[in-house]
Amino acid sequence: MRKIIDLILFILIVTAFVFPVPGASNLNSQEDLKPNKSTAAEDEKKEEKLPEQETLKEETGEKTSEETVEKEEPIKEEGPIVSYLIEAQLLTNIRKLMGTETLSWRNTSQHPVDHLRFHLYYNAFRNLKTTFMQEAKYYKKHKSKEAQKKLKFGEIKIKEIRQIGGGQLTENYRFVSPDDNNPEDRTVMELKLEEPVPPGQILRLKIEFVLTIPQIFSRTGAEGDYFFMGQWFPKIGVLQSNGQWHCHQFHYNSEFFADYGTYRVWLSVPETFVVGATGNLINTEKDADNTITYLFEEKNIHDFAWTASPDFTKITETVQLNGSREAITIELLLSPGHGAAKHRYLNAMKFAMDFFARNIFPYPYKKITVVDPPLRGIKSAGMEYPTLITAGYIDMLPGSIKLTELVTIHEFGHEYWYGIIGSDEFREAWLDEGVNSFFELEIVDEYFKDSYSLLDLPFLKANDWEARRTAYAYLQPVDPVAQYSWEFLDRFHYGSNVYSKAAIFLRTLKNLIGKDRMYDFFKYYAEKYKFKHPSTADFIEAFNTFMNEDFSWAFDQFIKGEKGLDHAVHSLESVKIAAKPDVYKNEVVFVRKEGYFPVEWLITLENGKEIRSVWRTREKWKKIVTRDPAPIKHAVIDPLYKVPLDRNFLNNSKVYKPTTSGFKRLSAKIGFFFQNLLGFLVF
Amino acid sequence: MKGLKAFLKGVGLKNVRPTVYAWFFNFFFSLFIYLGYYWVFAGAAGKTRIAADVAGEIGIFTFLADISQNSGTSLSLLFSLAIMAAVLFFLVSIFVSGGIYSVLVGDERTTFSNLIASSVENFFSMLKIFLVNILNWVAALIIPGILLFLFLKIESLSLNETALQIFTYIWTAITLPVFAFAVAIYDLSRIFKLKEDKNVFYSLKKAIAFVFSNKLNLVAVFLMYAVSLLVLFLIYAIFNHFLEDLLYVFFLFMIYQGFILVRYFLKVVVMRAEIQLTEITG
Repeated sequence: MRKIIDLILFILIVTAFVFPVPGASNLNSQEDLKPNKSTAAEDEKKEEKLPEQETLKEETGEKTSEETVEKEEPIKEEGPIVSYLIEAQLLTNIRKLMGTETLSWRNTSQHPVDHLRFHLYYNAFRNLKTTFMQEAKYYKKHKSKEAQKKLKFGEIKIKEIRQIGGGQLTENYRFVSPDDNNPEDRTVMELKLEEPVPPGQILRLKIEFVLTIPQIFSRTGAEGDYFFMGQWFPKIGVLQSNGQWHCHQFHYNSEFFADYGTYRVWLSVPETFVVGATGNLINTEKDADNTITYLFEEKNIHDFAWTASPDFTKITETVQLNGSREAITIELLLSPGHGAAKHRYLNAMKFAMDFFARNIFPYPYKKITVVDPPLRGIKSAGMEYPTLITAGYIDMLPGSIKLTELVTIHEFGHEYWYGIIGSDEFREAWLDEGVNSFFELEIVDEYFKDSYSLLDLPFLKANDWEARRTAYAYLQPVDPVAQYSWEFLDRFHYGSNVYSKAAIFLRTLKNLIGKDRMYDFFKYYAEKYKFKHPSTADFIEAFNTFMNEDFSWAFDQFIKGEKGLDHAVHSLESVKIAAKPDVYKNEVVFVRKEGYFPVEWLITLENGKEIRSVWRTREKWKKIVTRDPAPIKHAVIDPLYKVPLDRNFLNNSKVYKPTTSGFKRLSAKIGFFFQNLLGFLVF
Repeated sequence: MKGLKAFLKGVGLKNVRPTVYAWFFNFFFSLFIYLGYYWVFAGAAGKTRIAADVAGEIGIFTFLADISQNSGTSLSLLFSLAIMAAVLFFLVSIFVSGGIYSVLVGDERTTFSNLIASSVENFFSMLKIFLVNILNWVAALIIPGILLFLFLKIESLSLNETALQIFTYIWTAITLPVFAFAVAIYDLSRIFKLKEDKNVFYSLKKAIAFVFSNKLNLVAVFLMYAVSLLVLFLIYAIFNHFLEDLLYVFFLFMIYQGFILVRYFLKVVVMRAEIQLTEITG
């Protein structure tokens, strides 16, 4: 009997090696696993038929991925924590997606794991009572029942969960809401395992799911025949070293966090659709039922997004970056009527890629896809996913409103601070958004060096950094930058802290330590945490180590604390000394109204003499008393505006004799604008 | 052709005083914006060095943002005053344009005393014409309004960018002439009221009939007006690009007033052309 069993096992093992399929280490065998296809007309029927076909497949002896994976791949001690094989079939006419996910997950903790947690992000859009919708206050925007009826909700339904090499787990899941106990929220699923997974061991699951694709409330969904698919598949949370799950609900003010892994995704769509996705296109196969199956694959990524529309025009260009061995392909998916945006996107992309190659390291993947959403899908604009970004363009806006370039540069920057350096966007979003916004400012300063980088309209001109600083300056000092994204006072305080204050803080630090050193630090930090998950503590530790100086005072105040910064000239006085007719006693008092940061000060005398120094000590005020042959003309703190973190520039100087020609000019321009407006208004 | 001739003829007539008269009231109502903003700025930051840095080390955007954050009350007060000034100017423009039309229609000497006297004399009849013409404006809004409503109602169209672009062009092509005709009806009802001194509804009716029987001539007049304004705007854009920040504030201010004067000159030319047309075409 034993011999017979051994023989059967031997045959099975040999068979597995001779017919390798997806999921095994050999990646050349995608033809062996073909997802089910359907025509658009048959979509609705096939939704129900799919499980039957799966059964038929097994009965006829075709090899499915999980069988081979189960039998061939040994349990590894190293390698990616997660590996996803996903087959997805988009049923465009009924806005549904049928999916099968084969997940391999390795327990990297020192604790046996008896349950898993998954993100089911799509359930954020299942009704107005979910945590996402409540935080977004959609119920306010859609008060009436009629308005609510018009909303196209979406959801993800789990059809089946099976442990490969184990049993059915479909009955073992429940929804949990670890952040707010909202019983209506189903964005986190907890799955009880039959047996705990020991440390270092790999667990394999097969999950079948069905998506109902919503309208695009935020980042994902469909509008007409434009589909943007983000956060669409069951995604396992991150197991922390203490054995606890890092798996938060989908919040309005937060983005995402996941382990790095390998993704192989088969996407079946009607053949008229143009597809763009994370990763590299490995194979395309046309099917008899007017659909095409695309296979995309990438390693060292932590998410997978894709888009499909029959209206996209695909434009590809290659760039050879400094220090990169291979050319990188930029794939631009342009919406109809956006021809004028082509060069705006491509030029901004090339510039940003070159900037990062020069100052950090070259983009390490082979391809980057830039999605240009149509107007109706604008709510999916301005978002980042590994090797795929969505930018934004509105044809009717003039080119002097430079949002297209800004968004493109910003989103590409995320490929570094979210994609390659896996910052935690749930808990410490500033490590991605803040650092990335800092780089956005640096890049657009170079890119638009001869013009304004945000608005260059005849009556309104502004640089990007000015807009960021203004957003920060309007903050109430009630939230630290580094805190959970959904715990900010409101969306404005989330955005203005995490993006703007953090970026302006880093810009101020850069001005203190010098641009080259700052860029060198980021290069060091990025190399150190490439494909890892740094925390705020790691960032500060890296900064202090690199600078060989303790800058905790700065991070404690402005990142970990809620403080802002405000310097001022409190008073100035020049008194002629009676005994000495040509000598004045000059006195200036500088104050720190809020926060501490080293700052330059300058006193200029009427005879042109300048007295300047840097105020490094931490006292709240500083009195400078001098005896000079001339009285004071003006006193300024931060004369070159090197401390943009100062939230009020108006109190940074005092003069004896006001020179207001700048105000006259500005008032003249405003007055002229008003005069024209009146002229147009009536006559 | 008649419209073109009327416009060109209007350019050569004595338009300086009516132009200055119209400009003066516009300037008067704008003056407090010039001064008001200056006072707010000087009050908030007059004793600082920031005025010297505006548009230099820091941009106007940052300056205005800091001012509005730190002197927000004064700025919002100024904004409210500006709205009140605009409303008041609305009434004053009825007074002023009535005077100019009256002098031009009566072929009187274009002296300031005549312009003021005519404005006073005709204010109430012009106000009535304005009120009656609300019907005209409502009618003018109906077609573009319905088009816009229908377009926005059909979501598949309004969210389709190509459709939106095509609609915008078509809508503009329809709306601009409709509004030009509405302006012409308002102008001509004032002219007929001054010429014939009859009931305001009669004037409006006659103006409508006149506009519909002289469509092409009026289109020519308004086209000439639009082209002239466009040329003026291009000159301003060039000035703005190359010279604006180099000139002393005084010269800058004077040039601004020059632009406004030319705008009113062109409006007076249009007024003359409309009167000419009523005389040529009977």
